[in-house]
Formats: sequence, C-alpha cells, structure tokens
Amino acid sequence: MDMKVSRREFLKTAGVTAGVTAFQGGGLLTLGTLTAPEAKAAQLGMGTFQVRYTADVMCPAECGMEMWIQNGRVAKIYGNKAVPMNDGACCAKGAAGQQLIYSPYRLKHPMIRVGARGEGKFRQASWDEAIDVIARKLTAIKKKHGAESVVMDAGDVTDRDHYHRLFFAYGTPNCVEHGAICDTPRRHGPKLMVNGKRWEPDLMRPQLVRQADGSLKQDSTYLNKLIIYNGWNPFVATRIAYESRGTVAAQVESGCKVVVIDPSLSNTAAKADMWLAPRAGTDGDLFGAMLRYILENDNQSDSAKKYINWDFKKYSVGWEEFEAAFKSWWTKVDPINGKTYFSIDWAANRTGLETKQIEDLSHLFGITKPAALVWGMQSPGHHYNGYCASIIGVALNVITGNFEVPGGVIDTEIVKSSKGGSATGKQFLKRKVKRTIAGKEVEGEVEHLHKDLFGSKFPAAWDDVVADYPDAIQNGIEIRYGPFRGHRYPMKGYILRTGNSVYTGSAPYAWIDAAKAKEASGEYKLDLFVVIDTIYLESALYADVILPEASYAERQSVSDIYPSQPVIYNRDAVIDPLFESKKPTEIMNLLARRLAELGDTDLKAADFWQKYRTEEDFVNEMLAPAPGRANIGTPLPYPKYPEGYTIIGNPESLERGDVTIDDAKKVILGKPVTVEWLRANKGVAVWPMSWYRYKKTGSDEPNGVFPPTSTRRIEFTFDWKDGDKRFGGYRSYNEKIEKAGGDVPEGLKQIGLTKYPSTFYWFETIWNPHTNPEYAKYASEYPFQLICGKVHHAMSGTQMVHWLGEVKTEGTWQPLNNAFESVVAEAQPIGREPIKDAKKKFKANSYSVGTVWMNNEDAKRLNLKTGDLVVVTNPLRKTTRGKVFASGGMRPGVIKMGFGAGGRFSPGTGPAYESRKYTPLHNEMVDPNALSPIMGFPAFADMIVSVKKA
Amino acid sequence: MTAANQEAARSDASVPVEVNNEALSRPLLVTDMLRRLFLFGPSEAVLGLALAAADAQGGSAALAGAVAGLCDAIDEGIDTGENWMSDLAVEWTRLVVGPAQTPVVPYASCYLSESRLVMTEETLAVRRQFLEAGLALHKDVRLPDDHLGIELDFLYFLEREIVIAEALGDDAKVAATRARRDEFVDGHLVKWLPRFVADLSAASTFAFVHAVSATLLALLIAVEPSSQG
Repeated sequence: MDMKVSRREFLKTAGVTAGVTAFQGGGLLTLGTLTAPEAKAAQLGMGTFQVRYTADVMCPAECGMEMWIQNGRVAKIYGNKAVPMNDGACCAKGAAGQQLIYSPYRLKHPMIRVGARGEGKFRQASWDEAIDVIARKLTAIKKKHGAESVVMDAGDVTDRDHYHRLFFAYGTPNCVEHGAICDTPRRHGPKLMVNGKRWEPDLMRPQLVRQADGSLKQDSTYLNKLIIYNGWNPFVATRIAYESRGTVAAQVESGCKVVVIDPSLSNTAAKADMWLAPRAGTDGDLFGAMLRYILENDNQSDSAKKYINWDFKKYSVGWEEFEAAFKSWWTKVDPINGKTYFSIDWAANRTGLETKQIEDLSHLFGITKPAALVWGMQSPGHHYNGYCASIIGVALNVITGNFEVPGGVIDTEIVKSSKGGSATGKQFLKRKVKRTIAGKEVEGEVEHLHKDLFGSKFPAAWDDVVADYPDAIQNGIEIRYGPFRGHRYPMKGYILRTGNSVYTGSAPYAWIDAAKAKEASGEYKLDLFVVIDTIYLESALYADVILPEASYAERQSVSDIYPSQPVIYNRDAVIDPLFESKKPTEIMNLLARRLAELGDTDLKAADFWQKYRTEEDFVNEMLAPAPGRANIGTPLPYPKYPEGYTIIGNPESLERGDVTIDDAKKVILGKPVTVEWLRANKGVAVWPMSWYRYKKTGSDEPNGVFPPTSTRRIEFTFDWKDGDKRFGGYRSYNEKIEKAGGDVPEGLKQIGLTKYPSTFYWFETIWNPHTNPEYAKYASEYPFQLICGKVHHAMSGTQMVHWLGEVKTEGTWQPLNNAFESVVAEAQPIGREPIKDAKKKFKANSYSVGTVWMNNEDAKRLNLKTGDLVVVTNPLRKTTRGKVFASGGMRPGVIKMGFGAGGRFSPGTGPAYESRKYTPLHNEMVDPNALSPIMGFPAFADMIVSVKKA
Repeated sequence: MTAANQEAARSDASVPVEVNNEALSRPLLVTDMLRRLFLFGPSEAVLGLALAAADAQGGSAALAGAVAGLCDAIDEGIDTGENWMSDLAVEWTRLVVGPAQTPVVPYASCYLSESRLVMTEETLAVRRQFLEAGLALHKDVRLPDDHLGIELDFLYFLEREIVIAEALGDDAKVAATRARRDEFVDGHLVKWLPRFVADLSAASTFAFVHAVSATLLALLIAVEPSSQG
C-alpha cells in the first residue's frame, strides 16, 4: 500500500469513527438541550433591560458610562450622570462602543506565530497551549538570564495591575505602563516640586463641596478667570473630559479668558480668546521669559502690577536658591542670537512671537486671578528639554498664587483617590535575590535590578523608559547603581499588553529591527514576544503568541481620570467576554499557575488563583485604600473628624459617622469602598472637594501634610541638606551616583552634567536649528520643524469605526483619501428582508485620513496645494509620504502630523490600513536615539524635515 | 473554537437506534464535517468525514459531485506533501479566524445587519429559533449564536432528529422537525449563506477552500425545502 492510500484510509477511518460517535453520542457540539420550562423561561426573559454602570475605554478619557444590557449584549450606551468627569456626557467615541465590542475583527482566539516575525502568519491555539508556550519560555529565560530579562509593558493604563502583580511576583522589576511613552517631561516639574504629576485647571464641575451648615452641595459654579493652554488641546485630544465642557462653561459663566499657545490652530485655539503660535520647541523659552518678566515687573504696591503672591514662601522651600539660579542666566548671552537669556527680546527671537505679545501674556497671567497655566503633551511633553519648561511652569503657577485655589490649578495626581493597594504586587519588589557579578555573589532586592532606576542611562526615570527597548534587545542592559552595580543582563522577554510600542514607542524601524534581530545561533535575540490585546495592532505582527483580552465592557477595574478631588468609579464587566477572550484576572491566574506547575516557587496559589477567585476579589483589594487622602483644606471635607488624618472608606459610612479613628496612625477608617457598594451607588464614589490643601483650615500655617514631598512643602530646590538630613526630588538619584563613585548616567552626560541639579537648570532642545547652534547647519536643507498631535477619534481603538473616521478634525485628519471601492450594506428602509451588499465607489477626498498639515504660504512657495502627495525627509535620511493639507492655521515653517493617524501597517486597523501608502507615519521621522536626558523620553516633536512633491 | 471546547462536545441525548457508517447519510456526514470545520478548523476528523461522505448515500447529485470535488482537493493536498495540512491550517486561520481582519466573517449578522457587527438583532433571532427547538448555547461556548459552525450544529441536530424519528416511525415528529428545519433553512440560512460562500471562494487560492465553498452551497440546496419536493 502506498503512503497516499495509507494516509487517505487513515483519514477516512477517523472520519467514519467521528461521524458515528457524534451521531451515537447525541450529536451536538455547541448547543445543549433545555427542558421545556427552561426554554420557555429563557424565551420570556429575552427583551428585558438591565442598567449597568461602567467606564469607557474607547479613548483615554475613561468617561463614566451607563450601559443598557439586553439579552446579554450591550444594547444602548449613555453617559453616567453620577460621574463628575463627564457629568452624563457621552461623545461619539463612547457611543461607538459596540463597534469595538462587537467587531467581527476583534482578536478572538489565542494565536501562535508560524511564520517569521512580521509576516503576520499565525495558527489558532488553545489557551492551554498558548499559556504553556509562554510559561515554558518564561521559565527558561528566568533560569538562564534572570527574571529581570523579562519586561512587562502594560501599554494601556487600565487594568495594568493584574499583569504587574504577576510579573513582580515572577521576579522582574521591569513592569511599565503607558506613561513611559506619553509625556514624562511634561510631568517632571510637578513630580519634582510637589511629588505630583498633572496640573489641570480647576474645571471639574459639579463639585461636591461641604457647606457652612455641614451639608454637602453639588456646586457647578465656575470661578476661573484665565486659562492658558500651552500645547494642550482638550477639545480634541484630552484625557480629561471635564476640560472640554468646562473651558467653554468658564468662558460663558465666569468670563474666563482662554489663551492657547500652539504652532497649529487647534480646535481649542479656534475657541480661544487669544491664539499664539510660537516656533515649535520654544515653550520653555516663553515660560522663562514670562517668569523673568513677572519677577522684574512685580510691584506689590501697584495693584496693576501685583503679580506675585508672596504667601507662597510659607508653603515652600528653596525659592531663594531657585531664583538665584534662574537669575544667573539673565547675564548670559545666547550664542545663537546674542541676547541675554529669558529677556523679552531673547524670547521673541527664539519663539518668533512679538515682544508685545510676550509682555502682554506675562502681564495677563501675572495680574489675572485665579488663573491656570497648563502645558500638554504636545509641548513640553514631547521635547527633549521639556523638563525645564515643566519646572518653570510650576514656579509660575505657585508664585502667582494660583496653585490649589478655587478656579486656579490643581495637581490632580496628589488629590485623586488612592487605588491599587496590595493588589499591585509592589511588595514582591522587596524580595531578596542574588546575582553573581565578576565572580562574586551579591544580594539585593528585586527592585535593585530595575533597568532604569538602577540602570546606566536614566536612573531618574521614575516613569520608566520604553523607547530604548530596541537598544536593550540589541545590546543588553547594564546596572550601574545600587547593590547590583556591574550586573549586565539581556532583554529576552517582552510581554506587551494593550500597547503598540512597535508603532508608537519611537521610530518603528528601530523596533522592527530589534524584534527581528537574531543571535549568531539563528535564534531571535528577543526570545519571547507576547501581545495581549483586544485588537490586532502593528506590534502583534511581531509577536510569538497573541492572547485575546476581554474588551473594556467585559472586564472589570476602576477609573479615576485626573479629578480635582477624590473620585473613583467602577469599570464594571457589564457583559460576558465574547469569543475566547479572557479577563486580566483569568490571564494572570492561568499564567501564574502554569509557572508554578513548571517549578517556579515565586508564584504561589495564595497570591493568585486561590486569593483572586473572581475579578471582584481583585478589584475589592484595589479599592481598599480609597480614598486614602488627608482630611485637609478649605472647606474641610469632614469637619467632624480630625484635620490632617487620612480618610479611608466609602462616602456613605464617612458621612454617617460609621468610622473608627486611629489616633496613633492618624487614620479615619470607614466602611470600605467595594464593588458591591459601587454597584449600589451608580458605580461611583465621590468625596468632598477642598482647596488650599497645603495649609491648615482657617490659618496660614502649612499643615505638614500636603504636598507629599520630602518636606511636605513645595520644593524649589531638588537636593539639599539640613543638618544630617538630605531632602529633595533628586536626592536619591544623586546619592546613587555618589555611592557609585561619581559614575555619571549616560543621560546626564548628554547635557554635560555630572549629577542632577539642585535647583533651576536649563539646557537646549535638539534638532532645533533656531535654538541650538549644533543644528544650525541643517536649517536650509531641512527648513520645516515637525510636530505631532493626537486626534482621539482617529486612534487605534477607533479607526475601525467608519463614521468616526469620516469626521474631519483640524488639519491632521482631512478628507484626502484616494478613490476606492468598497462593499457596503445597502440601505433597507422597511421590512425584514436581508441587507444586501452594494459595491460602492467612494470618490477621492470624501473620507478622512492622516495628512501633512502645513502653512498655505509655505505650500505655495513649494508649488504645493492641498491634496498633493509629498515625501517628507529628515536628516537621518528617513522618509514618509502623505498628502498636504495647506491652511493658514499653521505657523510658517512648521509641519504637523497626527500621532497614530497614518502609515498604519497592521491589517487590523481597518480603513487606516487601506490608506497607509499615502498617509504619513510620523514616528518614522523620530530620531530613535534622541531620548531626553533626564527620563529617557523620545523627543517626538523635535525633528526637522524637508518636503518635496512625490 | 479549540480542542478544549471540542472536548466539551455535547452528549445530551444518546441515539435510541443502532447506526453505523452505512446508516449515516451523505447530507448528515457533510453537515457534521462542515460544522466541525467552521468550529475547529481543518482537522483530520474533518478531512476524514469528507472522505467518508463520498462513500455514503443520500442527498442530491450536486452534493455528491461537490463532495467528490472536495475529496479530489484533499487527495491533491495529500499529494503535495506533509506540510499541506499545516499550510491549510494557516490559510484557514487567515480566512476566518484572524488575527488580521479576515476576508470573510462566518457570522450571519455580518451579512444580515446593516451594522455588520456580531451580536445584533439577527443573532438574537437565531437564538430564539434555538430556544423554540429546546436548545441553547452551552455556557462555555462564547461565540455568537449565528456563527456558521453553530448554525450547522443546529442543522445537524435537526437532520439527526429526523433520521431517528424516521427509524422509530414517529411520523409526527418527522413532520414537525422537518418544518423547523425548513423554517431555519428557508427563513435564515438561504439569506446569507450563498453570499458567504461566494466571498469564501473568492478569498482563497486553495482548491480545498473552493471545494468547501461548493459543498456548502450544495448542502444548502440539498436541504432547501424547494429541493425536497
């Protein structure tokens, strides 16, 4: 018998056996029989609605949502009026949730790569197999290279804790999240000076405020008089929903003036009272000039020039040192324009604004109270020297008396509710581990192996560095500080969850090269690449294993997006996971259990699958510390409780007095916020608002509680000694350098520093010929500065929603498509006839795509017009292609592209994939080696380019 | 659907009459083969059922022809070597599983609803038909009710019920089940399956896929009320 016949007969026998067995056994594979009463009851139950409260993840704003569930599916989506972030509003993105949840193109099953990385060839696998493959690789990597060789990147902020807990327990400290590639330079000043993160205008309304009679009132009064948005575009790209409506409301109700500083006419700028369009990357220059102007022109005896509220000195330390360091620059001459630093003339030359504009803005900010100066990711956040701007921005708000005042500016990070608690797994970072370095066994803690905090490049990168993973994969990681100094390890495992670092982490070509790089043996250098997500994005093309995660409506966690007071709300699982997707809790437990089965004793049942039997168990532990903020400020949130004590418990029990007070620990402990409590209270807990949280109620004395810095005061100095004690935000990093014998981090070397500065400092950005002499030589060949900005309804999670894609937005998302044909549903106005397909021709310029937005006069000079295809080239000889959108709403000499809007090369991104050949991939222009010196952030908005017709 | 779910294959009601491979009609074997293909992918059991169906009786000449074509495609595949099965699995994954946007989507709602989403009113209409037949998806099956594999599972159930009722001489049940099957086929399947078949065939260069498309269409015609007289 030949082999073919043998094979055929084998198959046929298998088929006959299967057929007979199926018939004999009852036959059904997916369906089961019901009793007649069961079937009747199920039929009668169809059609009833349940109202569930959850939070959105269609964009980063995470608005509170009310979803109506019918027959186990999301039937209606509304905003949740009880959540003050969005106050019941539901935008088109939120309303489009079903398009994602019920997309037939979701990731449905575990997949295992069968082709080469990047080929996009996968086979379907069972969860058991996929988890086993991952666990075996993780076990082998840990054994050979150490657990620190695995990086867990929870690219999205939501639900990171399950995965971080798992990998902290596994033994790697290298667990990161979205913030690492969002805007770390922007947050630097707040973190350094108040131990906070994001400064936002006091715009969240309604606010729950304690009244004089002890009652609570929902107050919707807007108090703002001036808001300056620098590179911040809340009408299009905000994470903070209340800023969209609040800005307009403040303009109307309190006469608030709004100034937008942005090279492009953003939607926010279009509604502003003043739009200033400076040269890109000069935000710090403008801020510095404002600070100098205010210091030089403040006159406390002239009400028209009483800019500074010197009370700030009561609540801060180190102003004198800061001021002296700042003023020391006033006599230095800028080699590029011959003017002294931070003078109005100097700033005018560098920013391209008029001197009067800068003077007027400085005066307006100094004299208007309350005011808020805030800066976004599209300005300091994406520039190499954004740290300087961020620090000056904090100083400007503080000295003018606008920090923590009604209608002023709030650091949302340090007033929002605590969450996470022991569920985050950070306790595992304290485990003792040993490594052999130069033949000697050394003991330390897991956290001492952190790639960044103890690494050779950016030890002050408290939000981690994602952008240098390509280098870590290619060349490995060196620990330079702490007990493991001298230890080197490779990056061998990369677990990426709902992130897309290959596309967004800096230059995609560097990521792709790293993902495909091989050892001499032919094995990939990156031994394991896992993607966990709901949709198929660019990074997944390079994954070895893809795990389908439940969509945001099918998994549970908590949301708390940048409020001005403690607010926390349940992102409930309102429906069961569809297809074979699993919830983070399940994935965490599956992987932990399999690792334990393979012999990893760091993963214990009591920490995972026995502890968290449901996702509610996990979320309840996350909620346990809420709100975790002190009873401070005016009006005092809880006047019946001791001032300064930490408040823990749900609002109901705190209001009712159902608490225990621990005077030793200074804690007021009510009944905990739980999933059950949230579900019974429209999904949300809101605690009372207060302002002036840095001082005692009814007094001008600091309360010693807030802000949560080393001195409990605003710190203008970053490393100093008072007797034997050492303070400041940079203290610990400088101590590391000192203990390492003065070995300077690579990041600091880039800007000529040997340690982190003790107060105000300044350095220039890169790839900017107008402000940095090193790049002046490129100015003529590459005459355009390239910046980027987000259009939230045209990002990964929403690009598959056609009607959102059709909505044009600013200059970066315009109807400039090529003509195309597509099969669409033919409208069926009446009856129950099936929908028919219709092959429809879509005309050119009828569908929005990512563009190359430039000034119309610049375009004219280059003989270009809107719709022309151009090639954009940078000095690194990298190119991208896109169609021009020419308008007056762009500063001459600047080009803007949507971040994530074009050049989408994953076939999971729907219409955006179809237009990839004529839409620009902004990140292809980013210098992958230009990581900002303090926190290693990619300089997304520091590049110069030439533009030529294709 | 994966092996884990496959293991959960249901055995709610064992057959009250003896059957062997001769007793299984071609339409029944083809339906069994196709439901497994769309639920689990091109496994050895799927290919074996196709080969077994070629030797079985019943159904139309068109169905016999389609099955013969399918067997030719399998033979051709076996001839190309041992990688054919794994290549076919990758192709099948690309066509109907993902992870990229698949050329075809095996959900009725994506053809019948204007939204082109899963879990629409059309999906619920199929669920109602299941309930009327005393059936519901098992809790651990989280596919939409109108996934083609599940609809073929339902069709298989109805065909099997008819075979058994006929063997037992239960004419009333034969008539009632036929009526239920006709309603499902004529009121639902014929509205979307032909278009799906066309899309599937156009999306691949694999002879096996073309033959599967032809077999699906032939099965649909074979079970359509109008073709049964």
